[in-house]
Amino acid sequence: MVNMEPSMKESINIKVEFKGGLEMLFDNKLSLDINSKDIEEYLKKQETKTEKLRMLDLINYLSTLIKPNERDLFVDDKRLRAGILVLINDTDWELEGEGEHELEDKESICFISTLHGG
Amino acid sequence: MSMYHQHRIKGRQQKYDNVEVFHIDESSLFKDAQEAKARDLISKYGFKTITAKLEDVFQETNSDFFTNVSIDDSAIEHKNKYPTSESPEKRSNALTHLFDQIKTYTAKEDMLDSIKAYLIVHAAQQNDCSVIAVGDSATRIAVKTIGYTSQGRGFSLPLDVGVSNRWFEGINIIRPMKDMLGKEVGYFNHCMGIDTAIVPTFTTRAPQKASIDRLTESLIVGLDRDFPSTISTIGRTAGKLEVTRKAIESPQCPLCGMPSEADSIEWRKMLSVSSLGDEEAMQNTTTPLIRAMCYSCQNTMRDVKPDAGLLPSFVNERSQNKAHNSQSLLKKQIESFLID
Repeated sequence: MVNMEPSMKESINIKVEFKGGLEMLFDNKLSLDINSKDIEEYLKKQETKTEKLRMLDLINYLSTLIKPNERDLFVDDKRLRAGILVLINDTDWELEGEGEHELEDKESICFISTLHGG
Repeated sequence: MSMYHQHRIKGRQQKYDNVEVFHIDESSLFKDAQEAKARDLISKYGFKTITAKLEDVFQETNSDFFTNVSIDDSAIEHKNKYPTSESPEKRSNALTHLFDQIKTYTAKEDMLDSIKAYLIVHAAQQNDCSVIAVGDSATRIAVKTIGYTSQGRGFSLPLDVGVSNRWFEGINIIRPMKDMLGKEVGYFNHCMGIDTAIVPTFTTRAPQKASIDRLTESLIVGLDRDFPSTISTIGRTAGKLEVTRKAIESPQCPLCGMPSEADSIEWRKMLSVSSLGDEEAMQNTTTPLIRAMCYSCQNTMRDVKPDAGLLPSFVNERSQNKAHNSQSLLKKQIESFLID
């Protein structure tokens, strides 16, 4: 029960993987190591304040790494595009609260595109 | 394409004693296709693999154009059966030229599907395969059902999405993965550590409205996210469709190979606001060929610029051979009256 609320000052590291063609959007990188500080910085720019980092924040942060004209292929109205599966530590994210899931240290998050042609 | 490989692996159950994997090399059209990786993946499973290239359809004699890669032997045997008189570049150019001259992504995808469908059926015939297992998932079938309907392919729809399709003589096309959602396939692959090779299509990295297929796909997966039974409902509804006798007796469409409803041109005049372009174009020499095509392929041809060059040779072969299915049907009907 220690460390229930990771304080904003302590940064956490998350591993993000891309499969099913999504890597094409991220310079063909199959995985990225994300530090929570980067997400927080992005949120600051957006002037949105959240006490805890959620999946939705990660998704919106990731979309900034994509070329502007291709962002629609990953996010759709600030929501993850339909047809992309998400696994949080090998568990369907629908069981983990989807976009509201709070990110934790050393979590592995996998995005898989099931769309035709990647 | 990666779906194609996976479903074939499923054929491992004892029901079939001999499974061959058929792979289409699309790299001449899509430079980003992970062709080497795809071949690597297939070879892992140790099945006999037959490979064809898309541009192979531009060969005059189609009888033996397959590149055989047998992985039964420890050394990979790469036998090239092309006649030396025709250069592979020429065929590849004919293919890219044809697709360059097609104006819309929808028509391009249709043309590609027709070519691939031909290659698959042809490979089965050449290799004495009586069953073709294709990897359409429930998601893909739902997209096809709505997409094909909106493209005017309703006449052959029961064959295109049904669980078993015996339209081609001596061949049964089955869809063993019809009850598996794309999501389930994705999770299965992830959990089992099955790698995938990406073969892009025309609309890869294109906006959602790029083609009818793409648009339908985003509609359906979008709907399914909020109403999770959408896909299975479409699938089950489409599963109730039956092939009509009229469809079975119809001649074959030279392009897609599916039944072509007679008088589709008259049909179009009466019921549709679309036309096949200017009357002058209709008068040119290709008209009999266009007339033989099904409604949907006529739409595809409307988007092909007149200087597209040659269509694949199978189109012509089929148009000359259009009676073959109806003849065999007649033969079947009178079979019991024949004396040996």
